[in-house]
Amino acid sequence: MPSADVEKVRHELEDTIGLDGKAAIPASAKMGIGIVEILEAVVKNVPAPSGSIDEPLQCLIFDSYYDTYRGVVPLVRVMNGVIKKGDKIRMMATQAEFEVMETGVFTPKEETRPFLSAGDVGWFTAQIKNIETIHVGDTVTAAARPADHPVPGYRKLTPMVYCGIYPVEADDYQDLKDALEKMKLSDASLVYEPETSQALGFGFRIGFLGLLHMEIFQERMEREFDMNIIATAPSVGYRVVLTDQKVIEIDNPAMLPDASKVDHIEEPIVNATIISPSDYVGNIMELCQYKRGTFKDMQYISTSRVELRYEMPLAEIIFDFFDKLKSYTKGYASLDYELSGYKRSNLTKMDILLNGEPVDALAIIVHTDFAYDRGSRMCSKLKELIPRQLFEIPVQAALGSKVIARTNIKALRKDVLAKCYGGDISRKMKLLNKQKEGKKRMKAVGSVEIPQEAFMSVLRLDDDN
Amino acid sequence: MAQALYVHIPFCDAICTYCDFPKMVAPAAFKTAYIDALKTEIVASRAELADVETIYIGGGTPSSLPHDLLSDLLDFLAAQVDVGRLREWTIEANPNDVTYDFARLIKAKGVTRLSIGVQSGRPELLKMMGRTHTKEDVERAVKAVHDAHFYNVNLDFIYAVPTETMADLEADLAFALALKPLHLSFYTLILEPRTMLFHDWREGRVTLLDEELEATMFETVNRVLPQAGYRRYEVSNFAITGFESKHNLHYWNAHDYLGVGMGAHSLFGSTRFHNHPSLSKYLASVKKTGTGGRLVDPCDPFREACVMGLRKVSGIDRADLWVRFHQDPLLRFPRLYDNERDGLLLIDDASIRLTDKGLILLNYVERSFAGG
Repeated sequence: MPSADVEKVRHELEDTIGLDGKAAIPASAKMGIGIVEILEAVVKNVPAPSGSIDEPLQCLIFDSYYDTYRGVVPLVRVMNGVIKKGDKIRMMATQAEFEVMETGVFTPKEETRPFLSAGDVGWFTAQIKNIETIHVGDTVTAAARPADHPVPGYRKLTPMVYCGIYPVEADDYQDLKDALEKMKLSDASLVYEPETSQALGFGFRIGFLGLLHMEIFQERMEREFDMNIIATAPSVGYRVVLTDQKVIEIDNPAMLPDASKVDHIEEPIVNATIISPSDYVGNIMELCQYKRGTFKDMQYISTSRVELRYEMPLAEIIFDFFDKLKSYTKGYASLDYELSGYKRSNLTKMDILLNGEPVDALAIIVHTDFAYDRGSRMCSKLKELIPRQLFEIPVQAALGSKVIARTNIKALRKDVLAKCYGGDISRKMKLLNKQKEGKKRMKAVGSVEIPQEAFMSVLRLDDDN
Repeated sequence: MAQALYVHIPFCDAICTYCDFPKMVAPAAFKTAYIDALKTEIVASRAELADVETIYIGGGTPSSLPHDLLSDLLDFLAAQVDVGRLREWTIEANPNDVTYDFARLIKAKGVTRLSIGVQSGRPELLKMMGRTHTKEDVERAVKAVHDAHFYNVNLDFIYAVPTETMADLEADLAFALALKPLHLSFYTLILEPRTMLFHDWREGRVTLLDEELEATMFETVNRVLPQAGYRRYEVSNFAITGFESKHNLHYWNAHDYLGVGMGAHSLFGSTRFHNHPSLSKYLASVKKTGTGGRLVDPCDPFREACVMGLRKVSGIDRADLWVRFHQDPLLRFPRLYDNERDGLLLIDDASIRLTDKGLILLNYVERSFAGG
């Protein structure tokens, strides 16, 4: 291709990830260049599966999905042995037993095969109706001749970010539960448990690996499962040391015990690595400082790229850090972080009151230094997002019983389009249909209707000011 | 079959700052070509027009057509429909075009109703709206029409225009009443995207009136006009009893209508469609297919009938909707009961209609139709 710059890309491979650039095979799928070479390289460089068809059956479940007619369809890699129709199999972690109905592979279309043997990657069905018996990472073995140990599964990932998920209609709780179970089939990192909120009713507290994971989850819930859900603002897990020195972990700000019982709160700290063009170092440092970051290290990877390391509270990262980082660096910076531990910090719970009533799902835990600022910005954001009603709605932010910010959503005075409606009412109907869509994502809390965005408002305080 | 026919004339001598209808300033040759296309489209739809009872020629500015072209169009229309069935035939006009000759012409051809776009009598407001006439032009125009013994006249006014004061509105109300029309429309200025005024507003050159002033103005119009004998029958339409616009009521009752011309909308057998809003595409489409495009819009007939019905003072006619759709608004949109509880609606066996409080909050009430 005319725009391809093979040498530059080779350099970048060495610069940014440290791979040997010379080993890279130049290829273009569009022009048909390098295809044979890549296939040859796979044969030469990728080791063939070890394993033996004579050993007892061991299949690693690496994914699975739910089929309405056939039940759970686990996707497996056969490490040892053979699996075929009629075999009695056992899940090594859950001890559940099934009889295999069908086996097959993907080409990428699903195709039935008489058996799968060591080295194969494929799927099987066994009329598995109970979703809970299939875990990604579990090993499938033969009931008659079980393997003596499971193959190593996957490292259990600890969730970093938590949020509450609630059905918009309380009647949909069971559907939400079913959807979560099905979702877990293909997403082993999903952790959830039931929770209740005074404002939102029955729902679940869900742990995610990060914000992206959370967004994908929400998107899938709506697209694949057609669920109308309300997600509360994400929170990190805090360690709360009580006055009697007992330590409890909370992942929901609403669960924070009364201030008189709390000795201090510890928050998760991460090591953040930011790689960016060096022009933006000043901007990034300013941002990290503002986000309570502690500078650790800075290294020039090349003349124009720099790697910055910061120690930073996780809560600050999930609170619009990445969006800001991108806008401060014109989108060039990348961010990576890993949990490094917990640190005592001056944190407090901020309640949001609508119409005088605290809405537990809007409560957040903030650093005391930021409480006033965030409180007033959250109030004005909510004022913008919550549709005006027939009566005035006070919006307040409070620390304990002390109100630190207040604004009012004015009552509607005039809201009528006194215009000429002739033949063209399509625009009016379009507007109404948009409202209809919006309505799906509104939750009535007391007499106030709160749109989904309001719960996320804490993350997007800077959108337009 | 459609009982109402809308004919769109997209030509204007000047473009108003607030207008978002399909319109253009065009040379004479365009107008001739356009009228030819209109005729082709009407002939092609002739079977659908056998029952037509009302015709509305709107724009744009229909009165901006040269008199020979206008006369030709009116003759043609009269020949295409069953004139004996016609109950109303309206044409829109700009004050500057309304002369004694114009009034004689339309009267002779069978037009029964004239709608004049006055908008205001205040010079600054007329300027803000990009209107080229004066208060005196309006007075002269109305006199010319009356001299031709043509009395079924509507005057369109627009208020809540940027910079307008309460005194301006009161002056305009007095001005409107002094002209003794049989019908008055008082619209508030709605800022629409793709208009000059919208652009000026976004650039910060004009500011909109505050909500409280606009609300007081709305209430003033609704008080003053009925006191003078003009009964309100729709959100912004007032008439001496018997002179309500039959054609517009047809829209608000969600009955079928056919629109011909560039960008014209139609509702036909539970389908909404509209013609190409660009002249070249419209002309090409008529040439090729005989229709102006008939691009289908999504349509939920019952919901639309409810939304439009509520704009009328008589409200939603429950029996009529039941017969036509076999549905009842209260079953489909139970939130209407909340609106009743909040004093926004009056609900009885025959109808669902707005209270005064509901009228000024109509958009809020309409949210109830968003569910269901």
